[in-house]
Amino acid sequence: MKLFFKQAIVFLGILVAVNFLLFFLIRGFYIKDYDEVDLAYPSYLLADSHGTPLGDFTENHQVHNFSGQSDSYLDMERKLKFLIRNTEVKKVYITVDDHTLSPTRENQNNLDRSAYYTEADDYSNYGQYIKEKYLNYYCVFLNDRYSLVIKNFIQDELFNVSKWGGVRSKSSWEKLSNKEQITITKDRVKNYFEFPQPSARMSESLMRIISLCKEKDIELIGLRFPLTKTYVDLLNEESYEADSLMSIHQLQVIDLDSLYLEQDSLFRDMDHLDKKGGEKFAKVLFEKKTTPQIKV
Amino acid sequence: MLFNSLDFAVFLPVVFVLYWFVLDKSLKSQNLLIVMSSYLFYGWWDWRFLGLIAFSTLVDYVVGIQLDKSEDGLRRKALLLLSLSVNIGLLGFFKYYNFFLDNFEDAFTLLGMPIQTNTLNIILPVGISFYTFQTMSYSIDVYRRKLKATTDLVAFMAFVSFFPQLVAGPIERATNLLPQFFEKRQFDYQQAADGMRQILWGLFKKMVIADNCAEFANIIFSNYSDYGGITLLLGALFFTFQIYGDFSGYSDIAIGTSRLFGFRLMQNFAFPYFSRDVAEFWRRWHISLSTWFRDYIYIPLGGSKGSKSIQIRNVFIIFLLSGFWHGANWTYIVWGGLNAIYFIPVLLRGKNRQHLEPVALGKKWPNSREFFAMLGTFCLTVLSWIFFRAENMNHAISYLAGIFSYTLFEIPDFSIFPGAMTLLVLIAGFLAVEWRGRLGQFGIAGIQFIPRKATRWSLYVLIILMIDIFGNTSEQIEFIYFQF
Repeated sequence: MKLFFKQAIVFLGILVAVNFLLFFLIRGFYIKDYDEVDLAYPSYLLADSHGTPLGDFTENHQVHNFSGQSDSYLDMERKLKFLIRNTEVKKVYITVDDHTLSPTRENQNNLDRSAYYTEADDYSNYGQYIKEKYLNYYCVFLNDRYSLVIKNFIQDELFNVSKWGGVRSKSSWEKLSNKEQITITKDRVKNYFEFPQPSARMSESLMRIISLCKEKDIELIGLRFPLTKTYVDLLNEESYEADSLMSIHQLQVIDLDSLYLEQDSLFRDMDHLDKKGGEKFAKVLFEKKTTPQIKV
Repeated sequence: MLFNSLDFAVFLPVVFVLYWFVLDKSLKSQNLLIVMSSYLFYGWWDWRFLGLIAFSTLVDYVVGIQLDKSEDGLRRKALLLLSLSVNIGLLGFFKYYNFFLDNFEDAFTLLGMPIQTNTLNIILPVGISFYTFQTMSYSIDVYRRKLKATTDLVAFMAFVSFFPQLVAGPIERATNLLPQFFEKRQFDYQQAADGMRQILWGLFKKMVIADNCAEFANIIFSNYSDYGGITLLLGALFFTFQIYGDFSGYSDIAIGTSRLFGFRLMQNFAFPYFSRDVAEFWRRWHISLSTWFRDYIYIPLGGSKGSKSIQIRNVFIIFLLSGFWHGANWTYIVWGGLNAIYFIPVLLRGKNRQHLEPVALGKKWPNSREFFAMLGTFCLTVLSWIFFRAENMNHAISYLAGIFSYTLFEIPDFSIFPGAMTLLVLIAGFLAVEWRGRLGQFGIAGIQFIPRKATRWSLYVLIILMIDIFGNTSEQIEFIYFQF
């Protein structure tokens, strides 16, 4: 019995060591970029993958791009609280696209990574804080998202059949046939607009963001990113209307979703700009010369 | 409580520590702990059905004692009948009531005399087919004077409800398991370590192979009309590995867990997909159920003795019953019938016991004859699983028709199933490990013979990593056999 327990403890020790080895590997390609933020800016952009193509181009306009792929409002709320604690933030641009209140987004988020920006006060109890900030964050074996990241990495690198010429190859959007564009776009729309009602958690989180900005005297501006014509056509009137929540609170919404309707060359897929598109869009958005459509 | 859940990961060590450290001095206390933890384990799903287990247990306990005492043949028969009626009655009510009612209604409608029946909204108690068969084996063995009835109620309750095998087997014989509750249990390092290995391999089979196969098999079977023959064949193949990974994975975890507590359960799967004919397949698939039917029905009916027509009748009875045991659906009955049809030619040629040894014994690889025999048996099995998986007969027939169309020879479009290629590679690796370990009790039993500890432990870490990375850890998917 003694031997059994001794061996079990040593084996657990090995698993802990393997865990940390994996953590440092994952940190390199999944966490590190997410955890990097420049605290010297007066303005920040908070968005999901729609904001990431803007990259560092926003910095020419004194706006730090704090977007993260798949960021939900819960993640953005955590980031906002972090900014309030650590910077002199004056202005925040936040995505209010049609899908951002989707229940799908509630499940596809970055809560595992955005825990980095939290403090004990951000949680309802201390146990939850320890679980999210430390256990889930550092224990690879307990974090399903880390496993998924490794799995996707292996699948993409070793067994990605799209690299062998399948329909969903990563060729740029404009090179796809109209039929292919429609197929992929239908999938996306179905994914985000499967449910008739917006997510209550997302809506509540956006409301808290609005209140927090009011309380701290931070200018909050809603932003609707450019979309392709295929996406807009298939989307029809589908929207969870995050922009309406902003308007109700008399907050500005910059609506640029129709800006590049006929310019597929600026997109990497149906609703994401590519790097070139991101650079161009950053100029339009922040340079005073251009006048984006603004609704209040 | 599911074996692949966090609840069980907490439950098992707690029971283990109590069992070996707190109650190690008293056999009775250990048995009582097994009963309590088994009832807790079962009640985690639905406590309302605990009464059903308790009732079935009490009936067989009392019947057993009376059977033992009595010398009167007629009274003994009546007692046995009572036990069988109660157990089959419970099973019949919970599992087959609506099925019979629906079929009566259909039959009368067909005869032009439509009748109105009221089906009941009956919840099927998890594992009812397993524990009722286990208790029936006790009564029958006591009736046959193969076993002395026990007067120790706690030990008997522990035998019926033993949590590792309560909900999905192996269906243990009283002659094997019950006496173990009366033996002083000593902690055996080798047995416990081997149990851990078997649990690990069971989790791999369930979480990596079965759960991932389920994802694709479910999509393909649900939307079969959207896909060509080759994709449907792929769907059937995924289900073939899903059901094996799921059920044999459960059995491995059950047997491994039992070993941690000093119990030896029977082997339930012996690498069935490496069988060279259907008879061998059935000696290797769900062994505890096959042998149950063999011992309690097939042999009493005359087995393979008697005329050809008697032999054929017996085979059909066994396979149809086995199909029906799985569920109240014609698809299971046809699945059983199909296996009988596969089996009969082997039996009639007198070749049903020609492959008693594992394939390619003493060799690394099979010869071409063995290889094609295995491939042929595997293909027949894949086809029969389509009936097992289908929702109804129309579904099964349409699915089969979809496979045997010109689209069978197209190149499959893997891009519509991202991850399918990775899964096929995992299945190939899994088969390679099982092939290498086919002489042992389970796929990775042979790891213990690797002399270097570092190599052994590296392999364990690798399997754990595979489970973590490729396993579906975010949601616990129930085991298929829970529904039976």
